[in-house]
Amino acid sequence: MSIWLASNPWLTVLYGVIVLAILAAVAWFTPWSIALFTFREGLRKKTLIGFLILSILVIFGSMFMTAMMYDTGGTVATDVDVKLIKDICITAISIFGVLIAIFISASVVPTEIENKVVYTVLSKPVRRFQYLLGKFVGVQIIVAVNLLLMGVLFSIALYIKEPIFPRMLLYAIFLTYFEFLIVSAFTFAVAAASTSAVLPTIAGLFIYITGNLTQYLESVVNRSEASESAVDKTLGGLAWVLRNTLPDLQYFSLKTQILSLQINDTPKDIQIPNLVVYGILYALAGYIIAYWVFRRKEL
Amino acid sequence: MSVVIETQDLTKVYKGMSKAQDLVALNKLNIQVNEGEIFGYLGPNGSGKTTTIKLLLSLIFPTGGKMKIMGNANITSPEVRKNIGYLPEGAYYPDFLRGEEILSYYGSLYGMRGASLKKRIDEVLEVVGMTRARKRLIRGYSKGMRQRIGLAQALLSDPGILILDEPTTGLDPVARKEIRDLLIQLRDQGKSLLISSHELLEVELISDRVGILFEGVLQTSGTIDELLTSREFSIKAEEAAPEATQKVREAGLITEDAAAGRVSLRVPENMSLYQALDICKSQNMKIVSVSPRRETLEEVFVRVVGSAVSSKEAQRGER
Amino acid sequence: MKRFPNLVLAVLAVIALALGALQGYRVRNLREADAFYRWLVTASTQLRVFGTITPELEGEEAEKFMDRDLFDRVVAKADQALPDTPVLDGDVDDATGAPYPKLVRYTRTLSTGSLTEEGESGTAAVAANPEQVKKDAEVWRFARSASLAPERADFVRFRRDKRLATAGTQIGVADIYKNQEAPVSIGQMFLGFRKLAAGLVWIQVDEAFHKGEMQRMVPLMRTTVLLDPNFVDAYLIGAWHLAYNLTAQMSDTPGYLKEYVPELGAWVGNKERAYYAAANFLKDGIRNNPRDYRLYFDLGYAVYAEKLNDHMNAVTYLTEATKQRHESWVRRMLYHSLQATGQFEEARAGWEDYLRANPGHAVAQRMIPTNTALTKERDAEALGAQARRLLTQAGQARADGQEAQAAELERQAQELTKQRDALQAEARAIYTDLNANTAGGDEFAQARLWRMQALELHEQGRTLEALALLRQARMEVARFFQEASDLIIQMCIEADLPLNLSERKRILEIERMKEAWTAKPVEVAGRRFDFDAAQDAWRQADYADQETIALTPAAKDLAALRKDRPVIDQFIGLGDNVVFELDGQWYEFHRRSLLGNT
Repeated sequence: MSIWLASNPWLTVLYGVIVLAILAAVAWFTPWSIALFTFREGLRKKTLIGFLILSILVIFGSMFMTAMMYDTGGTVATDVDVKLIKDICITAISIFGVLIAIFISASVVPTEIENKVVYTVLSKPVRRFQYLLGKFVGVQIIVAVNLLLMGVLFSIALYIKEPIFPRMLLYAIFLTYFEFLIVSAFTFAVAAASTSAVLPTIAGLFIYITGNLTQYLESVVNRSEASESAVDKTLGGLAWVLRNTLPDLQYFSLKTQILSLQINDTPKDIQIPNLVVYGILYALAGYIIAYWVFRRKEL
Repeated sequence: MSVVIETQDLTKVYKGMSKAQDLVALNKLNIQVNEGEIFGYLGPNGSGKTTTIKLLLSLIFPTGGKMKIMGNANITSPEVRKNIGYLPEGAYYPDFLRGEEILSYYGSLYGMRGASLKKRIDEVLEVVGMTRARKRLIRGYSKGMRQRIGLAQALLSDPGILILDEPTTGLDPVARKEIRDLLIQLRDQGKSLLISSHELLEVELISDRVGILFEGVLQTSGTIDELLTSREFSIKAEEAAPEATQKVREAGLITEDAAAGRVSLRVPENMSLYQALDICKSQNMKIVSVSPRRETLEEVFVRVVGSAVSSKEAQRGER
Repeated sequence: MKRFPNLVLAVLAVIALALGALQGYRVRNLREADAFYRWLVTASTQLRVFGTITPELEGEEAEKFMDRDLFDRVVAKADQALPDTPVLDGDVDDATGAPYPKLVRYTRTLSTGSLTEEGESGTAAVAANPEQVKKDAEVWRFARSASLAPERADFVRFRRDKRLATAGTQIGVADIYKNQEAPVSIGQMFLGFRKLAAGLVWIQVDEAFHKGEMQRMVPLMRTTVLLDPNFVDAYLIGAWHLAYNLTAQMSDTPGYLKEYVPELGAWVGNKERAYYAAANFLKDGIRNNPRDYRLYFDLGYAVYAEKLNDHMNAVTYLTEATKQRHESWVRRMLYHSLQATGQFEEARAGWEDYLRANPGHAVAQRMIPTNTALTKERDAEALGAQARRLLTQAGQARADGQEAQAAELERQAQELTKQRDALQAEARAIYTDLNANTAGGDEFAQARLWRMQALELHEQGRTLEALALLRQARMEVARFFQEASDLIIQMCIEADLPLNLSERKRILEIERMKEAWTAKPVEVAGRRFDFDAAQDAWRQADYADQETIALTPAAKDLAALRKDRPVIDQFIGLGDNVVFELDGQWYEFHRRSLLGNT
């Protein structure tokens, strides 16, 4: 299995082809009018704006927080306050960003079904596949724009403190998007099956939390290896399957590592693209499930 | 004349927990809409009209039977869909857009773009009379305006078929007339319309053919003329003394209206017209007019539905 | 798709999930390789700087930790897998004289040169040296290559079972500190926002400090770095708290109450415990951040040089600090410490370098002649000692009746004495010059002049004048106080003159200390050491006047020995004069250098 780690040029080409193919397919088949419509509608949702405002408050508030809470007394020159700001902000962006992603993914389709606008759309020569794709892409545009906005504000906040262009920030934000992509895709799948936005929202939160705790399954697997009983072994087997199939959002903790780049860090040029592909593959799975559910859904 | 919409034993069953709880929404429905006609689709609430429409538009899927639109069994194909304009019941449109933006959006879903789309939007707005309000947000529209916009979006692709669900419900009389006129105009242009409604008067006024649906079963269908057979006559008479009216009634005529010597009589089915006239004359009434009495659609409706209900109860009573 | 749409879609979904799972496997392997890479860098640095990967362990403990085994295996593979690279300065192991293994050479940061501007905000963020970047990339590629798969698997397993002492990594669930239970739940409760948690705990540390709750700080500091091992400032400030603030409230432990801790190689009282705790804390930081110069600097300068007065270790760590990207003051402190250990030539060479890079630098300009003079003084002293020995031999010869030999020896002694005087005169001239040319006078030079003068007077028998001079001198130059006081005591004893109260107290203290030492022999590395009060020396119990090799802090052999056999530190920490045996060879260590107490 160690070929997996080699930067085999053929593997890179394959990856590149797959990703480009997926992107091209999306670009070609997506009815952009639906996507843009979803985007415009999404931007007006009050909850979204609420989250955004909260995150702005936290980002700019962090500067004041650190100034008040941490007092170096002017004697020790350190970057602790910059580090604190970075940590608070990236946490805020992660939390609010994912909340926005969950909320939007959960509500787009059920809302349209609830207010019957979907009837006017699906009676047009639009296939359900395309409709769903348009909705999904619209959701992604909203998530991406929000993330970008928060990232820009974060950069500004950092720049005020430390006038260096935070290039690493962009990478961190870029990576965060793919974490959100995974959560959003599976939430979207649940939403495609539901008639109200409540269930998918809860499901989305559940997915996010589970995705962050996947690696605990490791300890179940380890324990079962050590134990002899059949029950433990079955549990271990189940845990192994789950651990390997469920998306593990902890992989994206690379983003915090990127943000505070240390000299003894590995170059990121391998890990970031691999995480991008990871995100895209799970998003694909999520979308397929969404379509599978929506295809014969009675409206 | 070709058939544009056709269903064959179309059935839709909503599964319940057990067989007993299955809801049969449509039971072997066979309807036809011909080219260039207005088909009035009637039935009480819950009879399955909207279900039929949803099935035709593939918003839901049949449990059994077949459907053909324009002779095409593949009703989801883009060519078929392009030729259908659908005005749903309730007039819900995303209210943060303007009138023309809505049309632009829907137009793009039809695959229309650019200058031709703009031109078509202008035309369509003109037809429904919404040109002046095009730049207003839909949030500010009245019900009537929404219906018009709805109609506009249904007309965008200049479809050969229009399916309209309750197009005049909730509108004021002026708007109703305008819509009615528009629909007739569209029919005259060669379009086929399927109108589902329980505004019987309206339907009677504009439909060519009518179908009455009750509890998922098509009770009766045919042209207006076929359904509203004139089986009875009306006699209007003057100089009718109350005793004379009483005598006439005893003889079997039905008094509809009697006031100040004037009386409106209805000749029942079993009596011949001449017999009735003799009875009147024998009572020294002065005959003012004799006319064939046409059943209103309402009466037909009530009759048809009523008999269906009673036969159902009889069935239940038998068990 | 038309015929079995549901089935096809289900299959497609499963395929996509499977592909995702495979990709996840790859990502996980990359993360493990990342942690593995960091461990390689850490282990290599540990080997190079501390001389050992795992701390000295005995018996069962040693069995448990697999660091050395694993590292050796990787090094062997690296020798073949990594491309050849020239052996540069600093790539040579002083102990063996042989170059380091290829892997260690690769991970040694190439010095980017000293930054002359002091404006950069402390973060030595990314190695700017393109050579270094290339080397790092090579090692990274090696770390994740297929050939290392078994080692990586072992690494993951050992880390999970807590059998690695040097793995410091930010990624992953558990941490591997030897003596601590990893509170996994704390870290994971934050769902990956451990860095933020670390920051928040750190704020509490700061609060505790400002409130004066010193004891509460320590566990909080540990928690902070547990949550975020890359939080370098926490290590720095934490060590500062331990070494400076905690000890500010303590009182000095009298000498006779101090305990000898062989592992630390020092006599330890309350304050020293804190200092060594600070040192350990910083070493922990180095394990996790092997390339941040600030950790080495604080360890070398703030803890070892300033607090523990251990300039030998200071030199080691400051040197390492200069190998990373660093600020200019690091170098200056290094040269000061070199001077303190008596390595005057190296110090001077350093200052000359510095002056070249920063022309007109005032301190550098003073230090170059200072070190030159010190070299002369040292050589003079050596000559003087030699002359004295020759005279003793001459006396011996005369007593034996070897008149001619005695005369020859005396002549030689005179020769040497003349040379000594010449050197001293040169040194004196340099100091005088320096003192005259520096605005406000050069304290150090002045102090040296007085010292030389006092010693001369004492030699001539004019001890009272010498004492008077010293008493005045020590008031004028604060740095000179301790040394002058010691000289005064020495002279008084030699000339049998009365001492004042504080001097007597000091003598008493020292005597008490020596009493305690004589009464209680110390056990170090399985050997017993007895204290000989008369000679003021610690001797290994089985010493029977064997041949010894002399060692001083400035000796190169000492440095090599320390690298090769770190247990030596445990011996020489005993006192100023230690006689010990190592690998069959007997050594005599004398700490006393030209600058008094080091």
